[in-house]
Amino acid sequence: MLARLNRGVARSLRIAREEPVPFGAHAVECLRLGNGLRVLVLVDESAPVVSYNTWFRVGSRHEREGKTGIAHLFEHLMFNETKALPAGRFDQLLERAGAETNAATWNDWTYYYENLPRDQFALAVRLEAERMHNLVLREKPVASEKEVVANERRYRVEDDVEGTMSEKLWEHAFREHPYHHPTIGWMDDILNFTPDDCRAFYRTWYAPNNATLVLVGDVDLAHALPLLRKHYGDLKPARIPRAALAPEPEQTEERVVTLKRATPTDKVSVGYKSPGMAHADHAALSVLTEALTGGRSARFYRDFVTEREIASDVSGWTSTFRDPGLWEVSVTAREGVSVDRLLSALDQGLDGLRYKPITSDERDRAVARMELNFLRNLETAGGKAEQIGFFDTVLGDPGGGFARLEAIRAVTPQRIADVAARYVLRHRRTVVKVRADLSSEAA
Amino acid sequence: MKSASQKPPRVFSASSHDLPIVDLYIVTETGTAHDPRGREGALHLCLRALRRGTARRTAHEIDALIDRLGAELSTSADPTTSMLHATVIRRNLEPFLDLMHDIVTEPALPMHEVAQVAREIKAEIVDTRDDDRALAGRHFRRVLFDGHVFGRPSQGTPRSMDRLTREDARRAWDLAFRRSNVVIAAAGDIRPAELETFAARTLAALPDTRPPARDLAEPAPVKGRHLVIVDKPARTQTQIYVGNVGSHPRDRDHMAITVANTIFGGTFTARLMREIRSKRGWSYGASSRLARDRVRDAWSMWTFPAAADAPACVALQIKMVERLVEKGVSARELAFAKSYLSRSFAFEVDTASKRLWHDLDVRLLDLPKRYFKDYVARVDAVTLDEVNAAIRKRINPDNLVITLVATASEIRPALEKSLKGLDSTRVVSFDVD
Repeated sequence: MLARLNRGVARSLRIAREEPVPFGAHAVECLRLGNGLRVLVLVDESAPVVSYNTWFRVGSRHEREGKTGIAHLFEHLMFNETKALPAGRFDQLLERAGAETNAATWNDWTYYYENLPRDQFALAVRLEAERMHNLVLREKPVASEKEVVANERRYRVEDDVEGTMSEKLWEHAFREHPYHHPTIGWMDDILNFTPDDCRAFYRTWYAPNNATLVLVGDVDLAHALPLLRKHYGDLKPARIPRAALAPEPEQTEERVVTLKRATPTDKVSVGYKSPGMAHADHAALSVLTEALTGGRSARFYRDFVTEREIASDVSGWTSTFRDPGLWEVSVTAREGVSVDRLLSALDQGLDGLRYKPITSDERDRAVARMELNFLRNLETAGGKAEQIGFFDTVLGDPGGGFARLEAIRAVTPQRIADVAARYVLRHRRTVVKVRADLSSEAA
Repeated sequence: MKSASQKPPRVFSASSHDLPIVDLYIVTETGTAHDPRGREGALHLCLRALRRGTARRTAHEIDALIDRLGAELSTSADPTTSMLHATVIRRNLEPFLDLMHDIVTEPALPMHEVAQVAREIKAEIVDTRDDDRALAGRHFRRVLFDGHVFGRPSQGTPRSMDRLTREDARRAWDLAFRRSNVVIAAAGDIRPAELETFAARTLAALPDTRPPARDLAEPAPVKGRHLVIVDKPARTQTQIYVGNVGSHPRDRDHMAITVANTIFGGTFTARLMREIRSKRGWSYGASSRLARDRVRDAWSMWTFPAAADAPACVALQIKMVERLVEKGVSARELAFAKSYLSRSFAFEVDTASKRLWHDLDVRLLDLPKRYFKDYVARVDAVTLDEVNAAIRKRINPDNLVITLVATASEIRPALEKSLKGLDSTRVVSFDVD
């Protein structure tokens, strides 16, 4: 099919096929247009729908102080006016077609999606290609969208105690690396962006050679490829800057931040410096997180919530970023339990990993839960597309989810003990304590 | 989709072998409406305590087994139904079904475990005070459905959790888990015959006594405009719910009011979003919805502007409702909404679980038998006159409950100034039961 498509066509418009990548029992077709646009396709005819994702390799890690939050603000602006479409038309056309559309931004990426009936596929191609190179950024809509984002920040951070804690944790854990600032941006920065800032960001990062299309669902490649070439083929690649990220200096002492908030109970979050997602230790650290905090039989859940009844909730996360991040545990106290008592119990549990390591039964339970969670992410075309796009963007492997599942299955109790000893170190951690104080303003 | 049992069907399955996981639902047609007065949360407590011991296993053993099998088990207790929902990796289905059989049919409900669960739930209720949206929604329903079971706290309150005992949990089990009161359903990598075998064994082990009455009164719409400020310190943003009683799919004009709601606040380009987010940048989200239950549930709008914009935002919302009722919707808006609703229906049936829930909703919420099968045809048939008549009949801007979570001392004067024709204003602390 490709030979026929490429016959008599200029080199820049040819579509190159790379080796398909296994995705469970299926395979992801990997293609590339002459301008560098990568296209990943997983045909799944289980429902008459298509998920159309566009992943850009730009996120808040590419921002600098004073301009934080622009990647996220820009995600909002991408739903505005283009040369061919007046403001609001993009969403109207998609909704009329029965599509759902949205987007997300994080440290390492920004992605946009449309989930739409299969017969509306051509509409997504036309609209996404249009906004990749023809966005119009005027003063008034930029000002209005800044207000929307400021409100989003109030919702997710200012008036959300857990959002505040997470922001403080990363702000204090990282001093040089851009993971220091929140993806949504500092409020002052959000309100100070100009249309020129936005235009410069667009010109720099939004180009076909910095993007990957992920198409999952009832896709007919013979129909899709000519359409993709027609709408994207002429887009010019850009010179994508290499992110010159300042390396984070080694943390040598514990950092503690204490907040007072209008919340009914005390809370604590701890974050230990941990490796990036591609690191060989990442899977074992993730299993450790799950063994301590995932499910009712997890060690910390059982200890703090069920047996000692000092907490109402325990959660954990190993950050899934390209660069080194944090291995986090958060605990919410029961009424009357102080944050200091909570932290003391947590420290006892973490220190205890040295003489009471994770057992093979705890490891088995954690791995089984992680397998279930992975499978659940694949239930819809949109879920599969997100997995493919995420692993391709962060690890360069569209089938990375399955490879990671294999890595998780291979983790042994000894490996978990090794990574616990290597990363759960008091002098490389940051602590955020929240004291409940209903009488005070946020402090 | 298979419905293998006879009149009325109690077993439903939707097989799909795309992924090696199975979703299992054990639903009782008894909800929290049957919780005795003053003992709110009894059924919720019972459901949560089911996994805390059976004739053969301790709570500790059950928790470990669920995790080891790669499964998750959650519960929900609503006014008209209650449910256990489990997901499990296919290869462990058989031992997991054995466990579920024991949990449902032979719960030990040990006294100390039930007491511990009550304390856990109490702590979780306290934690929800951190969630301003949930607070606004809870107080909205409490006022809107005052005197109706929909207004009662299904999860219980900290005070009721202090009172509830093992006997309350036991009584709730006796009432809910009767053979002719339980529906068993599964979606995913399971054969209908496997589910039938499990369901037959489980239903046979439940008492064959008469189920509690399903009667449920229609809630009366609220008369007048009533403002409730849920007072919470240090709020920079205001979570707002505005609405009244909505419609049930049995209503002749239900599809017409569904289309009207889609135009008003059901999509990203609907009127609410356009005016509040796109034009003014006041709120990250602005939407309206018709909730669905066995009788008419709420029609509500949800927005969350900055505290300084909240009075103007609520005033605008009410003005928009007035305009909707006065001017109706246009033929162009109707065509757009019909196109959206009929084409997006593909996403109502794109997974086995969603297909299964269509049959379950018909069964549990007394929907018309062909509600989902004829959905697209009925959307296509709706006329402009029907939509505008439904709006005039179902929505009245003079009759609205307006609930906000805000710092009352900072917002009340401006609110009362901007909202005309209020029949009552009430301030409640965010940490009341």
